[in-house]
Amino acid sequence: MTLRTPTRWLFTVATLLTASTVSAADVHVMISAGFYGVYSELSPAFERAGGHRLVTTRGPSMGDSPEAIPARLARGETADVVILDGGVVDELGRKGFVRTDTKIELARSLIGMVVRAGAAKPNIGSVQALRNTLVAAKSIAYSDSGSGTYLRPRCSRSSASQTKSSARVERCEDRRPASRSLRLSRAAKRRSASTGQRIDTGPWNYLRRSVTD
Amino acid sequence: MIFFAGALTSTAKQPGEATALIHFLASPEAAAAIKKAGLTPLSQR
Repeated sequence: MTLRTPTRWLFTVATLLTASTVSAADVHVMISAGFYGVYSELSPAFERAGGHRLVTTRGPSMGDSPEAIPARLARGETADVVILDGGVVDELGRKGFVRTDTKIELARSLIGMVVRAGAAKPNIGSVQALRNTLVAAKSIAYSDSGSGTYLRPRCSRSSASQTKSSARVERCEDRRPASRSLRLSRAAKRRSASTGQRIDTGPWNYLRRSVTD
Repeated sequence: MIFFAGALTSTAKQPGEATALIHFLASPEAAAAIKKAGLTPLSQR
């Protein structure tokens, strides 16, 4: 049977409308800070190519803040895809929030350390030297996400005692990622007041940005 | 050292598009933007 021309035309339009409705999906993305710069640069190309709209929710990979991606998922917030620290993906998989069989590593990030211009370059050539540098610092800014989680046990009371020091570091209430400050105990402050320096640590791509900006 | 990774959630409503996004971000097409951000891409070139 052949359809009369107007009917066939309407049928074609209906098919196209259905197809465009199906392809123009909202894809909900939860993403941490470290990869966000890359994602925001590339997402317009992805949206153009597929006709999809990316709906983005940002939050740290870990840590105590309510914005942290594990906290969001635990509260029942939903997403189609998460982009964050690979170790946290595994953890979220064990808790049933994420399908680890779909995990793909996207990039590698190094942790860096900076001091104020003109300050002496800290010795971080070995784990012990890094620990000594952290313990001796007057103040340290660090993230409560991936890089800070790496650094924190290296400047805690137990590791500090291995260096025959009583330095203790505590977090301050500062919710901005990559800028949480550590507070040294009074004794440590007295000891490091003369020699200590301010140190900022964090994912290398963050530090590089803050240095070059 | 930290690896950033993408994965689907267990409740993904758009698994096809979400998978396409992860593959796109892991593809050589994304490598230049990843390098520009100070990260090391893992895609095969």
